[in-house]
Amino acid sequence: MSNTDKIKEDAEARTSKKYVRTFIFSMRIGTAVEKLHVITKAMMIIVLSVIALYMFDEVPPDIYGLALLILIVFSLLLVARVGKYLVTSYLALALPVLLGEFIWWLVFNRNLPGSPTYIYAWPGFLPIGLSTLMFILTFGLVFIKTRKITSSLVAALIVWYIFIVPGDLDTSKITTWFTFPIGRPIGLLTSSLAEMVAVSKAMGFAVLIYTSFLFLLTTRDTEIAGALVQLKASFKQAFFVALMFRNLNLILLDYENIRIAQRARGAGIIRKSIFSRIIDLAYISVPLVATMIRRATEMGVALYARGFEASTKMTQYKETKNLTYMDIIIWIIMIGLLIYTVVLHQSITATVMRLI
Amino acid sequence: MAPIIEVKNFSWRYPAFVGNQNPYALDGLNFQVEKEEFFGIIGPSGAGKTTLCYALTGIIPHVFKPQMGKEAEDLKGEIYAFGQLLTKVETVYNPTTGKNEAKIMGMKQTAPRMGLLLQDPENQFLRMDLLHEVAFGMELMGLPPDEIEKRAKEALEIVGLSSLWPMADLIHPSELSGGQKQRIAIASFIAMRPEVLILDEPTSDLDPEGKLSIIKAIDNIRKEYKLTLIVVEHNPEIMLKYADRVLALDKGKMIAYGTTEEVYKDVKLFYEHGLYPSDIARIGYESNLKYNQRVPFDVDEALKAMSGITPNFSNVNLNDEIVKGEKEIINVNNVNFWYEDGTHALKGVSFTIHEGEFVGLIGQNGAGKTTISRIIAGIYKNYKGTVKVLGIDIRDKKIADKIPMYVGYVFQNPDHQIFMRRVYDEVAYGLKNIGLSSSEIEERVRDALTSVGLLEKIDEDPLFLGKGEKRRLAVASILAMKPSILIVDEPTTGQDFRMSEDIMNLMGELNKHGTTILAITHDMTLIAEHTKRVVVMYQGKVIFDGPTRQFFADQDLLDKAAIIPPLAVRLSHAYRQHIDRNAPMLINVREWVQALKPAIKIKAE
Repeated sequence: MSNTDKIKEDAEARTSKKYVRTFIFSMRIGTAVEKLHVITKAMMIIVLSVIALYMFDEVPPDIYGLALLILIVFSLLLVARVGKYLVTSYLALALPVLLGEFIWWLVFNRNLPGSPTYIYAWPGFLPIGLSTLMFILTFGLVFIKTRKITSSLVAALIVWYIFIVPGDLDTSKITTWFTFPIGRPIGLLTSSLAEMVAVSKAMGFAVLIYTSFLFLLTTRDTEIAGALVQLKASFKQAFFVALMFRNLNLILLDYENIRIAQRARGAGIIRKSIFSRIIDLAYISVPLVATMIRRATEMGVALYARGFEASTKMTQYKETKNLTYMDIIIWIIMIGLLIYTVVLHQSITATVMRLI
Repeated sequence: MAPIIEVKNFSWRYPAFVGNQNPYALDGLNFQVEKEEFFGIIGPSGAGKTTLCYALTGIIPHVFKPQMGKEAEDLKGEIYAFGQLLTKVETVYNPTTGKNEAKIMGMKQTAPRMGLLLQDPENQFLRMDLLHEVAFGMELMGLPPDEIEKRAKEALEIVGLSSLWPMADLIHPSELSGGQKQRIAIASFIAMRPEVLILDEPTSDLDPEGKLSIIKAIDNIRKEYKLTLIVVEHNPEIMLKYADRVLALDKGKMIAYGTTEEVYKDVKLFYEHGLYPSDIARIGYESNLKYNQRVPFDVDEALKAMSGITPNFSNVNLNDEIVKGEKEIINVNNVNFWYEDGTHALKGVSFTIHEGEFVGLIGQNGAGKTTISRIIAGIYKNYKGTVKVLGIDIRDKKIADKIPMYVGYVFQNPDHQIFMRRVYDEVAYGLKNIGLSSSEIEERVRDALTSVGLLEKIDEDPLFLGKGEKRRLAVASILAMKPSILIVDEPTTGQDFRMSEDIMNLMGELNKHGTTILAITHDMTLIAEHTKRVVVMYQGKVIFDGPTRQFFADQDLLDKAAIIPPLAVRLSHAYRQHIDRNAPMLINVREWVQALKPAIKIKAE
């Protein structure tokens, strides 16, 4: 085989690998986000967080600005093709936090100026209409999928509750056909500005949370050492940071195996109190610590055997990643946004309104 | 030619921080390793093999130091490497204290001239991608990037992983199997081109074929690069084929030292110290079959030794009838399984295991053995097809959460399965989890510990038990839960000959008393000696399910499954090919001894 054929074949073999492991889960190889430098991503977290904090502290809050930041973060998540991991794990985890944030700000800021608005937790009647249909539909769908009555009922109730809120605002009776008075209305008198503040706080925190996810979902642990070297840390220091990640990886692996072994010993067969379950978790520490000590000792030996201590004149082979045009674009956008909003005190909402 | 390593009267004991002094882990060793030779080290568990590897590289005493003030007692004798002093404790005058003090002398660092590869490849994978793992040692040596790239590529080719080269920088350690990691660890050292390479059981995670191919590759490098190899390995076939000289240790003492032939011909010594003799040597020793005044070592020698002797095959019990009950314990039907990365690990696997059977589940690394057994044990749930335990689908709510009560799974690594600090509590842990009364727990714990022979250790701390004892404790902990079937995953990996025999005899005993057993193993000798039925897997499919003898008799099937049969089987194949085409297929040492012993006795008389 000629040399060019070999190079071609190697390139083809490389494209057969589609995804690469990151801190959590994996990302698609070859996307613009995969090519981004880790320092760019770290800078992006800082800049977007600063702008978001600034935007929701403005009076009135810069809602369009925050929406723009969310749009940027979500677009990058989609470009990296990590959407499926986001949906199956952290999106769901982050939503209750953001909802909590929203309610917190609404409850404690309702004296803000603006037109008074009622937000109902319960309208004082049971609406029959779209919400009822949604209840039946959700229950049916979830039950077909899971065959579990309790889960289906919980899901149906959540959807139903979401749909009675627009129902009680619906004066033209399009979505609510009949009503049965039950109890008294429970609600909160608040103001339009308070609502806006609460929405903006939730949006701001969404920016903070999802940029961090973007970093974790699209950064490889191996990039950290290279970045630290570029930031003028010595290679040995950078290597120790990387070794920490490797250890973390091993601990997770051991934890997983030990947990499986614990289940095989009947942990989880009988429903136990939370306290007993915590104790079960604590028992994991016996094999985990024993394994960790053994691993740490052997890693020390492995380092010595490679000549880590003796090395005085080490070279670097493909340790660092260069900045690409994509990094430069992101830097320009970030710095531009920072100057426009924070330095020049411009509101994106105001700018959009002007343009419209 | 001066030896490359010289060990003179060397003793070492690990410092004891509390209580009594530890015994000497290495005790009065005297030997030399010649330049460019393949030097083997053998010994049962706890013999001091790994400690010796540490001493030969200078890790002992320059990293693992002796106790302060006790240097001269903890470490005696001296070691020389490359003609220079590596380790010695000397008494020197300390002008500040005005006293004579013991001081450790010698080279502090042997890398990169000497490389050491440890048993667990996971702990030696120091970087987060394959490319840098192989490059790391060379980076530390300060080699130019071009040279690093050239050597890394070459090293991966040598260990048979050149297909991973194009994407080496994209491969995370968690994407590699244990066997691949072991090959990469070997590649990392090969690339550094040390003068001496010490390998401590380098192939324990590999299947027999992988083992032989990797050792062959390393031996080729030895010749090409004038490398000296020191290899700790249990497998007698590897030693007999490749090693020039061998050192045998037990409890830190040298029990044999000489050419491979000199050491391996003393089968009695091997039995006494729990070492692995080759199957052929065992046949020779037990039936008094001689080749050149010693036991034969391989198939050719055994055939030559057998000339003029007609084995008495009628003396061999060739009954392959499988003792089994009517009840179906496990029924696996058309099971398919995909890993998250899309690998189609099981492709329509089906088999049934009846009450009282002892089945061996075999196949190459990655054939799907562990995957299917983990599905049966209820660990992996996203499979297609059906798995029934005692006739009930394991997805059925009645048993879905209670599978551990029916299927007992003994994992490969006993260190991952010890949750308590007392042997009694350890066995009782599972029983408490299933909510038994304390009197029932007490009774079951004692029964289980009695059946594995650990009753006298009932109050000890499991973490301080020996390797073999930990393994037996793990079996007892599962056994006490009285499952309908016991699945044991690689019960003999990392164990010496005596412990392997011990654990398999225990399985045999349990089976005789009614326990149904599914054993997953690479050790074909154990399969041939203990199981009457095998399920053979290859690339996610079952390619054979039937009597062990029938499987070993079929050369095409063995080739297809890429399984190297044990030496006793290969002797049968050779016998049938060269001497008697109609001879029965004997598959283990016991059967060959039954056939040969009376014939040799008659000839002698």
